[in-house]
Amino acid sequence: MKVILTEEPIKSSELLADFTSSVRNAGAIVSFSGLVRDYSSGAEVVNLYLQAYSPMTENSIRSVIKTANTQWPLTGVRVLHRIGLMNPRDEIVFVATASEHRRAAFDSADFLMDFLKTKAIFWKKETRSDGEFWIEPRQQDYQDIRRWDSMKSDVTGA
Amino acid sequence: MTQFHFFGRVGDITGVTSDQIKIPQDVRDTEGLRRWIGELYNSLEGFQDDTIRIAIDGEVRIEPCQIGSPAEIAFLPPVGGG
Repeated sequence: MKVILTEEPIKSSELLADFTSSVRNAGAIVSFSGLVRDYSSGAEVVNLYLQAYSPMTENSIRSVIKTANTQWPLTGVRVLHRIGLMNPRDEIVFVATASEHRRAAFDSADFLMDFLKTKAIFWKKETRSDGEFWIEPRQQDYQDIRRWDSMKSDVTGA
Repeated sequence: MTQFHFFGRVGDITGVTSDQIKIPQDVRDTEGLRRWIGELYNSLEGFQDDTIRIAIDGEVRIEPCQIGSPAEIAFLPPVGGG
């Protein structure tokens, strides 16, 4: 299990290559890369600023990875999240999961991203052509995390 | 001295994301803490917002509670997600 917060640019292709070479007995690897959008709410994005509260942020991510490991037979998990100031198209998050079979890898990566989008301890401010805005999860993000309500309640908040 | 962190929109109220401040002796609980820090940063209303949680020495507290002699206090508005 590896959780890293970094102010340095993320290169998901290199991270995926490193993750792939590090896991054993993986028949399937799923990775997700999130990017800073060019446009948000119809306005041009100038930059995105992300704050974390270490070590609370890392601990909360480690906790949800532990839950994922109890739910799916995973052979590897990696989460890397950018913090600080980012430009449009910069990679903001990299999540990778490995398992013997594909379904566990797909579902666990999906679950981890739903957690990161709604519960992870980050604050993000979007500077756009129409002003500065602190961003909170969308209704769709909350609906997405509720898909996992049958799992441990301390993760989904249900 | 206590290390204060002001995350998210709370930092917009204070104008800084962190600060070292000495807590007055008569500020003993979270209610007094919100009132005192609100007066200090000229935003009583901003710090009365109960969607803003308080973490003391890295632990989010259920309020009201005593604050003791903390090394670190953080004001945490609702998270934005990653």
